Amino acid sequence: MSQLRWDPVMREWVTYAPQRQDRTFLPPAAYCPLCPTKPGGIPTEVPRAAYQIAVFENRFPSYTLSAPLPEQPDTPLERFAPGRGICEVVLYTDQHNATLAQMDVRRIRNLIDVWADRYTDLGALPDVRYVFIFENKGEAIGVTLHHPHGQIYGYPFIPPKAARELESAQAYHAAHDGACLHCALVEDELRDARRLVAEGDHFAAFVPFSAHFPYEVHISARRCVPSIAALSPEERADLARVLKRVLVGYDALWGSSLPYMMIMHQAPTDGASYDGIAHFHIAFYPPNRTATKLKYLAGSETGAGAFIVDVMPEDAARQLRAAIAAAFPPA
Amino acid sequence: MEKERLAKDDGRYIIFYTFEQPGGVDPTRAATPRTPAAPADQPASTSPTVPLEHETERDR
Repeated sequence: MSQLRWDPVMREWVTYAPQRQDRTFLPPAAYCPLCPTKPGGIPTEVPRAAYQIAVFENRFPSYTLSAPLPEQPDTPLERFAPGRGICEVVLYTDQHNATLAQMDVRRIRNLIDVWADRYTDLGALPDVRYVFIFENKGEAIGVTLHHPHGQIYGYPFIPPKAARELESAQAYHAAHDGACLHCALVEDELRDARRLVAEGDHFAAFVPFSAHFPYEVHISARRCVPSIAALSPEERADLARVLKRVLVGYDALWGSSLPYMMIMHQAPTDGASYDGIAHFHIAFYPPNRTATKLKYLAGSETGAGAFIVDVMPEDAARQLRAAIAAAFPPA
Repeated sequence: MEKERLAKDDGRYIIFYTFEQPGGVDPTRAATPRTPAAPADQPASTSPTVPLEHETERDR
């Protein structure tokens, strides 16, 4: 069972999913539940001997479409709601030891089509108000399965961070004759160029002016496009190329497979219009502040919500540009 | 893109996506996977066992 409880102080929903305590935790490769099921072998989540890209309903979901109504009635201070939504796992490849950074541009391009398809399908579900596509990579992030995969949460509410970003974009839109905040930010980063990391015809990758993590990177559409599903074929191909450069750049930064959280920001699917407000972009949040030290979300960040960052965004971008240039030397 | 949706034994679904040009793994530029850049058991900065260097660097 999944249950939502309203926090009247922070004014946000908190999800309780105690059934997830039993989820598979760092199994040896021979017992990976995300690998294909080999003939005569142990059955896995994937009942085939091989696959390209596969998506399945999470066995240990935070949200389910069948979550029961709360047994307890609401009180003025205690509000409940069923954890109705959906959780999917996206398998990037059937090769256990790969990473997204190791996918070729063609596979990343295909994956973008799959993500777009899932955004459309899950967004059409009545209980899903926000489709959240993400990847947690690396044990430092808390990943429990090493097989290359991402996840999708179909939230029954607009999550707090997305809601706050949309409010900011709405305020900017209203104050600037209908202009898009994120379009302005991308144009500013392209003009300034000090924080640019990679650039394509349709996407720009940069360390944001006010990054919250030392090596945070945003990949933002240069056109005001609300979701991954609204990208044209040319834009999807460009996104695949830019994604590949950023991913490889992260690995090249310190010569190791860098952990990260990869998050897609896009329009809610609650039926409202987000034209000129929601702007598709991908944010990467690696936990490292050096090759061997992690940035913890400790007292100030967790307790006060005030981020203190150890690396200036301009320095991080310079390092990442150099790493990408070394990995992709001119032909 | 071909999309095949199947029901699993426990009622959940799985969708297989197949492409004419499947692409694949090209590890030439990316780092060897599963090499944590920091040990998973690295102590938290509030831990009493944290190396002094950790704190002094933070305090600079």
